[in-house]
Amino acid sequence: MRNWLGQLYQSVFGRMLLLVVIPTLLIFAIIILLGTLATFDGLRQAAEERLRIEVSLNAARLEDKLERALLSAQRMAEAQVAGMFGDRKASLELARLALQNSPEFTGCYFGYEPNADQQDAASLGKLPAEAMDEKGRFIPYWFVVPDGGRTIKLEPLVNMETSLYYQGAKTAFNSTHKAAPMVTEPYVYQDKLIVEQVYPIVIDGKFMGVAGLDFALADVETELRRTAERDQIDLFLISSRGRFIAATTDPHGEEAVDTEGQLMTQEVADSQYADLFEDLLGVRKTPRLKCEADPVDGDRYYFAAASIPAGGWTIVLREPEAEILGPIKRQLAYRMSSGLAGLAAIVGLLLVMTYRLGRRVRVAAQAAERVARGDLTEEITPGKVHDETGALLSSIHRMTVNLNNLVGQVKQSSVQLNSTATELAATSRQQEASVSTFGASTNQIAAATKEISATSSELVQTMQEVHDEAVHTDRLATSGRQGLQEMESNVRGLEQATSSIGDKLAVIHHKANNITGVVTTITKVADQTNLLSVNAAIEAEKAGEYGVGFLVVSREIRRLADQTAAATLDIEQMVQQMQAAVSEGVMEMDRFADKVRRSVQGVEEISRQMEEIIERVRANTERFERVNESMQSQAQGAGQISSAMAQLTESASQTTESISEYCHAANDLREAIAALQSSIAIFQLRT
Amino acid sequence: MLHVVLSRVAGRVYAFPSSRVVEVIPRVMAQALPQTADWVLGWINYRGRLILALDFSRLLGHGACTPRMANRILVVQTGETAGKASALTGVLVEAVLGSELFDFGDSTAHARLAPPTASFLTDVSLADSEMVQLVDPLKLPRPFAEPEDVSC
Repeated sequence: MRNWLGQLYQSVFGRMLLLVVIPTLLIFAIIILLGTLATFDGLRQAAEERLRIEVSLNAARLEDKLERALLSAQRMAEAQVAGMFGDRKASLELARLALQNSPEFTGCYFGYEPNADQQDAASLGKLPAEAMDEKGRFIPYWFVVPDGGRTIKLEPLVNMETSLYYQGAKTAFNSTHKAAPMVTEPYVYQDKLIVEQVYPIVIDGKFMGVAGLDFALADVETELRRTAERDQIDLFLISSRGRFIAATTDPHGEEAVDTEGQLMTQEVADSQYADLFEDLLGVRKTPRLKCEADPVDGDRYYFAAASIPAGGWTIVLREPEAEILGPIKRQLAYRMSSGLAGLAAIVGLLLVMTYRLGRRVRVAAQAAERVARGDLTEEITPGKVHDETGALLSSIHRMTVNLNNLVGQVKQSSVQLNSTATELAATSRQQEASVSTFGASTNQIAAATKEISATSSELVQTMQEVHDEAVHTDRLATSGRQGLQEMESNVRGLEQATSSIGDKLAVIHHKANNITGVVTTITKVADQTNLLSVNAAIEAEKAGEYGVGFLVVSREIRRLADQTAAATLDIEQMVQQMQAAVSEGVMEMDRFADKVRRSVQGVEEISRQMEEIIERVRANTERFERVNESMQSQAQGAGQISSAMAQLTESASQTTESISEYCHAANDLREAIAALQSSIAIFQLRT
Repeated sequence: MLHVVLSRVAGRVYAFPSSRVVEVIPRVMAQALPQTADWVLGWINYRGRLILALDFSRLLGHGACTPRMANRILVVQTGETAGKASALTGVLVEAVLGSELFDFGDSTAHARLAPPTASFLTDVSLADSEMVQLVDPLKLPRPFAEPEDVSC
């Protein structure tokens, strides 16, 4: 179990479940439970308060009726005190009017003490006998005949000395000497349960009689039943001495034939409610409430009791507990079920969200784990969710791609670095060798500079000799230049003669061309002559005998023409040979003239070069002196170079050490690259 | 004895009867005729008349006559039209050697030294060990029937 919890706690889903979902579930459940309980308590208190108010209202209503009756009795008594006492006619009329105008009353009466107004004897026979006793004591009692109407009848009071309504009032006044209203216990009079409201007539501090009203409780019961039926409750009215005045649980109307078991007029102490009502009775300022099982039917009821101080009565309201708590419980059940449904929905959403979150975090964690192992081959799909987990997956995706590129570049770079380091090491070794060679060379150079210094001294001497030779050369060159100038003039003369010969040859060539033209003409003439002679011979032959002579002539002409043609042929050949010879001569002359011209140019060039040589030789004479001075400076410079070379040798040895360190650094670099390659070798890349 | 005009063609000597030779003229440019035999040179202007000219060297089966200054055209009569202007034909030869009297009556020289298709070659004579073949202009081949008189 502990292992399972530990594994669960290791996952995001488990942690969310343990730290969020289950606590949320518990907290909300407790809140709902406590809220329901508090609501239930509040509603129950409200219902109880309603019961209290309701019972108080009913009590107040009854109190009002009693108060009004008592007030009427008090007014009648005060009227007697005010002057009516003794005026029996007026008193009799007052009582009749009071009863007639007040439908809630069933009787109205005065009761004087015997001969209190000193008119008992005088009144006999003057007033109706029903208003007095046989001694003339004024005790008129107006009452409503119980026939359903409002017929009023007069009778004398009875049982005055034994009943509560008179003797009780008198006893109370005598004990307190204070006029106070009094309500009697209910009793049955003429088949009606009534109570009486009595007020004492006190004149000069002496009890003179009472004024009273009968209050029919049947009306009270009817009203109580109406109220009970309207509010679906039961009401019990209990007198100050613990007797049931009215109970809505009693049978009513036609059912009331069987009066057995009914509570009205029964003592509470004798009934089944004795224990239940024990602490509810009595005059108290605030209503009392209790919820217990009814001893009659066994169901649980709420019992609310309120006092009616005017008569010392108590009214008890009974309502079934199910009627009060049922709606409350139903409402609470509805609330609780809806709350639990909401809670279940929240928990469900939390679970779904947690599961999805956990799954996405798990994907991210697995991807990160693969990256940590160096496996960069797998590609992560960021998904379509754009919350923080989506951003995390997207970031890991980008990180993987970037790492892929980075590690690939690092691998390539390390390979390149490795080759570079190898090249560096090789280069440093080459440099080391070069510096060693350089050191040897500097030593050689130092030796060479010493030789240069010695050689410079010899050179100074040699330069002097060279100077002397240059002066001699200058003289010889001057002489040579004069000879060249003569030769140049001779060659120019030759060039002119050559040009003249060329011109003459051109004339000969032209003449030869003319001869050729003449020969051509002669040839044409010979040819025409030949043709003419042939035609002449033909014509002569056609002439027959006459043309014989002309035939001979034509033959001779043809022979001459043939000889002419042969001679012109010879001339033509000779002219052609001559023309060829002249052309060759012209070409030869041209070549010769060209050579002569080049000779002239060569002579001029030689002359110019000789001039330049002379100038150079003269200039060299001065330079040789400067060179001599420079050679001496050079000898000194060679000494300085020698010392500089010593410093250079020392620098070369220092450079050797530096290169050695550089070589070590290159090796370290190569080892570091190898370590880097072994470090990144764990990464597997996408191809 | 027959008076002939001797000419040289392809190294051999041919004789034209002087009676049939109207005139010997230098070589002139001929107006070529298409769709004719190769030995037909074309028309030439002979003193205001258009006459047909033949290359005798080609007619004999040799190559074209080598152009030289000594080339001649023999204007010969090729038709028997007495009383009217006779038909004339120009025959191009390499050179004209002259005019001589030749005897073609020797029996040894009567043998016909030419095939029947070349009927214009007739008798042959020997003179100084050189053969001379007589040409009959009337039997020269005609490439087509030419008009009787064509004037420029």
